[in-house]
Amino acid sequence: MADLGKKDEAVDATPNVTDVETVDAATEAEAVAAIEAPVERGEPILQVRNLVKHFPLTQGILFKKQIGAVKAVDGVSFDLYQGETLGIVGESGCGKSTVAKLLMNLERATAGEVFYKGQDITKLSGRALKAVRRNIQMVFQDPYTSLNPRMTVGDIIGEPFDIHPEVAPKGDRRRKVQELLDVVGLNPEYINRYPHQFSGGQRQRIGIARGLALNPEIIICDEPVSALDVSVQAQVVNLMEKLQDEFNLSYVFIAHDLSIVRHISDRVGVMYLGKMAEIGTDVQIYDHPTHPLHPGAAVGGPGPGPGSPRQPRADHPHRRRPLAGEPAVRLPLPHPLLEGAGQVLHRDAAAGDPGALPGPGHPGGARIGVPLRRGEGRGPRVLTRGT
Amino acid sequence: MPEPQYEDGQTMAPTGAGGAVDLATSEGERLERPPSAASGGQAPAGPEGSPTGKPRSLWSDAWRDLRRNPVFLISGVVILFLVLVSLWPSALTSGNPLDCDLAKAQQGSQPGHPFGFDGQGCDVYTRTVYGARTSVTVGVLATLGVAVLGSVLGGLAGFFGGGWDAVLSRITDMFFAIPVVLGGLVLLSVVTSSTVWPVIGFMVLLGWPQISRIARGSVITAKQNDYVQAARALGASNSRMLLRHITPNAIAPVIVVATIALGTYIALEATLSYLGVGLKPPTVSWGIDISAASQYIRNAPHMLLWPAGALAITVLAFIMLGDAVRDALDPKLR
Repeated sequence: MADLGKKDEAVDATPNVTDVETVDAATEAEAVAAIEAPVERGEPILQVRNLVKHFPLTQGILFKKQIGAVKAVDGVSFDLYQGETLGIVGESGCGKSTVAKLLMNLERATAGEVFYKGQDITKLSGRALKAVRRNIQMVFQDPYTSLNPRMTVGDIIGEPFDIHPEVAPKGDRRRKVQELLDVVGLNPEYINRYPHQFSGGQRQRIGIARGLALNPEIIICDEPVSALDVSVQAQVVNLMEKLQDEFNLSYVFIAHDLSIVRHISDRVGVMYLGKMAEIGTDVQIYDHPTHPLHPGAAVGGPGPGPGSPRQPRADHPHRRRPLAGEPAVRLPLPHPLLEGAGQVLHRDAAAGDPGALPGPGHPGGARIGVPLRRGEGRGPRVLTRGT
Repeated sequence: MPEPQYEDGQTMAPTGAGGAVDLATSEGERLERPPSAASGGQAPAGPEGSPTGKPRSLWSDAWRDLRRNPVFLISGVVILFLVLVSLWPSALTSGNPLDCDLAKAQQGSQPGHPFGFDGQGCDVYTRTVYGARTSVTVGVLATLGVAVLGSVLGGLAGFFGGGWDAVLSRITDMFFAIPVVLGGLVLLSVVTSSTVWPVIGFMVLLGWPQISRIARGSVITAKQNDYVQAARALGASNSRMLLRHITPNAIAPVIVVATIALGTYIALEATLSYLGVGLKPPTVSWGIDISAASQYIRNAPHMLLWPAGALAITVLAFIMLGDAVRDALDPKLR
């Protein structure tokens, strides 16, 4: 993998992402043509702008009244370049998986756009949407529920060809499926087996083969290894890296395991409470953390350090560095429904916005202007009727 | 690209036991295994024989469980016998169930007439044999109707959700509130036809909400699985998702409940006939015969004993079959 964007300087500041060159397609055929057009390596292929997904909270049996909303994704913007791997990390509940579903058009976005080659996929339908689906594929988190237990491996990997018959002629499909099994390191003779006859790692390979079948350009990986045994995780991640080089893929790699994300990603985005808190190369993110709750700050919790496993050396890069303004008392876990949880972050001097990013020249350090008094910002208050 | 190297063929064994993989090294081929394991690209066969051998699907697993279950074997034999009798009753008796002689009314067992005669002088044995056809017809057709109507309505409601689902669920609740026997007394008392159809129609009308509710629940469960999302991500149509992914994974509870319900429909037919609102003569039915015999239970208990015994065995056989099917298809329900 070339060192795509692996420069240490020039932070890729999310809110200031470049303007999107939209392609105005008057007809469906033009849209399909735009979708099929090739993209140069290093050019943006997927551009997300102010993506929002709110899940309404309703009350009442027959006449539902909206009493609030879970702001799962609340204004996320980023670019994915052709051939790169963009890691997205964040704690549980921060909206990572919802972003994945929005990128796949599996959920309807409340607002915002997802431009794939200049086409807003949130507004596409029919043939154009089908063409997009061919080019953006997904690998799911849980290999035990992502494969239909009533279908053989051959049927599972061959299903993309049934849905997009133009990709492979009918007589050719079995051979294609066997090739795919071979590509992901499974014996092509397992084609007639059922998913329950495979281990977790093998199942995830089947899921990857299904994702590869249509020869997509982008694969969205929603925590693809977090359900796997640690030794198998490495195999699957390495397989995915190999396939990226072989098939010229772009990955959006969502995970909560920071070391795996750092291993595979060219750039890393950190999500916090539905927003992209910061985005940059792995060096910027991991070694020069700017956001109080981002991995650089959180890394070095449990886990073996080079010295004592409990107390990493003071100069170890992963040693937890307290940030200026960090509260002495642990805040309640942030949650989109809990007002007050993690509220300290809203004190960000720049914009009062957890998504606010440091400008260039702020390699790290204090981002919270006002020091927090003890107890402030604690005590989560659940949103209730009327709020 | 090195020669193909597969993950180990030992099916359920944890993978990666032999792969010395280091996450820190970022270059080179990291799927390396000892060359012996991958020589010739031929992975060793798993414990279930050759990799190309006949696969075991979940349905064939269920069938295997069933064949070893004595409850299934016993009830299966009884039901097979019942079905054969209802198809060819003349194989067991040469008599005509409507050929009666009042002179022989209420007489006991005689040579050629092992079960004796009923109040009208009809041969109880012949009527019991012919009654099987009515019971099996009513049970099977009512179950089919209920299962098709209920699973289609419930399945679509579960799949599409929204307002249609809300309306259907409230309708289901309303039907659940109707007492079956009372509803039968009211609705069927206005029917004059002596065929089985009004009774079957009544059972479908009152029976579909039960299946609909189960189908809806199991479709909602199946719909949330990632493989349905995966199919949608591939661009699959709604009908493909429903037919290829959801139906095969949601049908088991419907089959189980329908099989158990079959026995209760047979019993319900007898109940309604006994109350005089079900089937009507000249249709031959166990329920009608039980009803007629119940007034003479002190003088001629044999008139009641044989049709009631046949009914009990039939209902029991279908309920046992349903239990066995449930155990095989969905062990968690046990």
